[in-house]
Amino acid sequence: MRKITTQINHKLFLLFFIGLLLFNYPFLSLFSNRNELFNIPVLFVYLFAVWTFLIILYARFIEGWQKKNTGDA
Amino acid sequence: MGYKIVIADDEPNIVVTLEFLLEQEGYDFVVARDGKEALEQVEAFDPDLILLDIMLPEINGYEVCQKLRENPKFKNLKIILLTAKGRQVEIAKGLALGADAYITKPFSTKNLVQEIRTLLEQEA
Amino acid sequence: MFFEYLILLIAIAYIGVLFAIAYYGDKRADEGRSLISNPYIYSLSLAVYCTSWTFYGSVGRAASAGVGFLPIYLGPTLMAALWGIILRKIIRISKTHRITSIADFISSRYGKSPAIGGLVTIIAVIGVTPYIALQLKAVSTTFDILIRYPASISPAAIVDNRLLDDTALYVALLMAIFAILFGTRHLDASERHEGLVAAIAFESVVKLLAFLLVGMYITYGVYNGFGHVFDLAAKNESLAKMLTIESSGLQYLDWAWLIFLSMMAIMFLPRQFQVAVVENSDENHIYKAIWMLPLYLLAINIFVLPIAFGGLMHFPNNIVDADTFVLTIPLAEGQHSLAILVFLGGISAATGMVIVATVALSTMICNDLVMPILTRIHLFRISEQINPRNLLLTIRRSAIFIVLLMGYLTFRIIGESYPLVSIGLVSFAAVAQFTPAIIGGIYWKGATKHGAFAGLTAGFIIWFYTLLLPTYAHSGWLSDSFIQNGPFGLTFLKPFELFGLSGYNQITHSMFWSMLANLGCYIGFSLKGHRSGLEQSQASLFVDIFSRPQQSGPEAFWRGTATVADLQILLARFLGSRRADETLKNYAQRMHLDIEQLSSADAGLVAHVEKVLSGAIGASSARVMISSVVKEEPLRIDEVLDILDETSQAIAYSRELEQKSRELEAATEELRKANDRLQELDRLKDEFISTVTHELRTPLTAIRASSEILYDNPGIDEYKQQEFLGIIVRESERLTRLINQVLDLGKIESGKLDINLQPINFRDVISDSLSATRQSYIGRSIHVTNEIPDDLPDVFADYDRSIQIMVNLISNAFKFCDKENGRVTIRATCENNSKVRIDVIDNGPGIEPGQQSVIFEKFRQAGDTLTDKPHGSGLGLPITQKLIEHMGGRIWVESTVGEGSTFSFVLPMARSDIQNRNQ
Repeated sequence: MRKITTQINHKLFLLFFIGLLLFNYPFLSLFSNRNELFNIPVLFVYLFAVWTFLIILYARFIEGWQKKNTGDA
Repeated sequence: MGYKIVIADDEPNIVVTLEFLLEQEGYDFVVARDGKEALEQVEAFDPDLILLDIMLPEINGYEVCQKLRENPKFKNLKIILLTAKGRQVEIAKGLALGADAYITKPFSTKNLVQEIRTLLEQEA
Repeated sequence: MFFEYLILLIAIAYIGVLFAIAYYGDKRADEGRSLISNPYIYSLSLAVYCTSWTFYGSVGRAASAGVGFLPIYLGPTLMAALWGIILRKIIRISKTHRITSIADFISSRYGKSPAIGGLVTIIAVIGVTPYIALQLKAVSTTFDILIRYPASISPAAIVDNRLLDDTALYVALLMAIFAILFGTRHLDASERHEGLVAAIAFESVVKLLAFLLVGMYITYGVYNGFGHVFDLAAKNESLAKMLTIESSGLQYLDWAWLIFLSMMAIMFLPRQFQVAVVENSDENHIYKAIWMLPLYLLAINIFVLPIAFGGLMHFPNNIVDADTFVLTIPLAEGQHSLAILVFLGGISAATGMVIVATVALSTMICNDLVMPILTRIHLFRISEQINPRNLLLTIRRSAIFIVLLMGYLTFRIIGESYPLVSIGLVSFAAVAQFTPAIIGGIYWKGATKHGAFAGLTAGFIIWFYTLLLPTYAHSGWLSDSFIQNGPFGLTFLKPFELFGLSGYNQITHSMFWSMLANLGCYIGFSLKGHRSGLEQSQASLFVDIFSRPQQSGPEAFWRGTATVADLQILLARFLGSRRADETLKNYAQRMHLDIEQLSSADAGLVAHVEKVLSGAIGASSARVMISSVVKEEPLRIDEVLDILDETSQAIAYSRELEQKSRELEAATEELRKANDRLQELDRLKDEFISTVTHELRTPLTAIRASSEILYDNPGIDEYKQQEFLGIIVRESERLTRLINQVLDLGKIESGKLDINLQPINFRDVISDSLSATRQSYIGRSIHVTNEIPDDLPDVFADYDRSIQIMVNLISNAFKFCDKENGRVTIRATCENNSKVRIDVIDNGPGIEPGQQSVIFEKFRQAGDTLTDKPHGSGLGLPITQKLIEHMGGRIWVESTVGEGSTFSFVLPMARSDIQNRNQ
């Protein structure tokens, strides 16, 4: 159990790091301009897209891990 | 014959029937209406047998029985407890106190007469 | 006015619903079927993070800084990924050490230092107060807008200085009451409030739905979708510049600091610590929350920018405070229902925060500030008669009031001049000061109490000087010359440009210096100083929480001495000596020790004994018992509090037990009495049956003997024959009478007697009864006197039963009156104009005083039943008594031995006669 917990925590830690990078300078500056995507400011799209992407990955990792875990038990 | 009997009972109608039965058998008898009288009659009449009720005024039948048995003068006296008290403990108590027979009311006249006869003839 | 009351009514009804949920949640918790013990409710409860700040403030922030509102939610999203590492550890530690608040957590880590606990509490209270002020501001402002729209849409219009007219004051008071009712309804040793959490989770749903609805309405109803709003905004130069980071007035560094601040805030705000750690029921729930809370945050933020831009375009030239766009746009569009729903969402956001925050703060104030002081100054002793539960509750309730009052004052001072988000960030910055002490505390064993204390103090002072003080100055409460020129003209001390650092916004500036000082002192003092034993042991317990087996207590770090004999005696007291010996033997066997040779017990043995004892008398009591025989370091404040909490419960419980056992004793006594009574009744019944049998046998004997004589002697003479037949007839009559009486008695006792009550003339009753009994005194010299007045009023009674009564009493009198010179008097009188009294007087032997009360019992005639042959069935008087009582009367006897007896009874007078006589 502890080992599995460590594993998921490591994956999440990696996502944390990716998120931290994507949500900060310099990545942020790449999208901080007045371009638009589907009429929507690209910064807005970028932030919410990364956000959504992170949540989906969190959920996939965790739900997959929990399913496996309960399956084992 | 000439046997002498004391009837100790306070129910007049029962006494009437007992008188008739004893008379028919040819016994001599006297009637006592309460326990005290019963003892006096036994003293005075010196009977061969006593028909003793338990629920008697003044002195109850058990006590009369006990007193009679305590007196060696009456050691040949036959005692028949004739009573409406029919519980097993009461019968046992009566017999323990030295009664020769215990007959519960209502009694069969034939059985009573038979019992009296048997007891009186034992004496002989 | 009507609208105002309607809104109040709706708000109150909504709060009523919350109470119902909380009540249900508590009830389920009591039943052991927790409502909240699932990851979804846990995630929703964490969304207490979203307050009025989010609900109203984000739009305001977005209206001035574009995406600048977002870091506050991106931080938690990132932090969530680390929960499996950090939060899980904090929860595990807190569960193991029964931590009740963030102050408790930090002080516990640093050698259970009361100084640190107090400091953390002070920082938390001062730091969070502006945040509470923010909620008060939001609720009161939106309430005013809602009821006065459109008269008051800009902040300036609603400034109102009259205290009694101040909506915020009422909001503060209401919230205080609300928080007290929610959070301190009962004292729970674990400080968990399941009902509260259920209500908070519900509020999270409401505020999200309300915000999504208004967001969709504005984006798709007022405008034509995201594209449309942004398209319009792009064409507006003042809006378009907000679409990038650089032009939104934020620097990337500010952005990063905001992310950091909110990362800390999501865990270390007192209310977040409360819901995430203290209220957590299963540490595995955090995994679901890792993705669900960010999802919630995303959902509640997706419409913020469209609403902000929409509002700015809807109300050009800043005529409306952007913080209120979610409310004012629907109002401007005439959507009042939607506005009310939004208002409810806002209330949810605000109340959720205020309640959880004040409950968390009040626990801290009580456990980490007030109680340690009380204990220290010896005002308070466990042994004293003060009920500790009441004391704790009073302190907590007062604390809630004080915190909300402080919030209100802060609102009065700074509320009007600051937007919601700016106020909130001040609080975030305060709470962030806990970061080194906590994160360092759970990962770095070398961190010391002095380090933590110095770090917290330094960080707090700088925060206070560079953020809080200027806020007050800005509001005109303080002279702001020290902001412009530095205090005493010392320019290097200017709060926004400390040591000449300039060019950053206030938050970034303050965070930089405070964190630098905090971290610097924390590390510096920790490296320099030495640690006490308790600090070392607590450090190991916290840092190595996962490498120690679960449930293992602090036994390895226990220091003290106890003799094996003492422990044995203690065990024997609770478990009996046999089990005490077994316990010690088992332990010795397991540890390969020879218990006989141990004189002083090692820590493991003490812990083992404590654990065994816990099983018998509960953990806290076991702790107290153990410490009574073990010479160890004095108990720490928090331990004392813990034990207080539990012992007071144990005391209440044992009182309850005592009460129960008293009740049981009383019940047993009752039962014994009832049993005795039953046995007595049984005996009486036996006696009754035996007597009835005897009474039946006597006439039967005469009948049977007479019949047999007649049967056996057909030739018997006629006179004799008549005599026996007469006996048979009379005794049969006697038998019949007896049987009737027994049946009567049965009927009366079972309540089935037919009684026909009507006005009757008792003169008739008496004369009828006399003629019925005439036969029994024929031939005896009995003088009967009839003293009945002619105007005897009617009696309300049953005629036949009255005759039965009179016949009974008259025949009794005849039976017992003097044999030679019998005298019987029957007298009737009127009593109190409401009753008729009848006396039947004889001149018989009289009744002994002791017998007078028993003659009305069944088969009891005066005298010994064995020697005195009864003169009747023995049922006459009991039946008479019962009949009279049945008809509402009473019977009694007066008698003098040797002179005679008087049987008297009263019966109620007929109503018509009462009236006649009263006229």
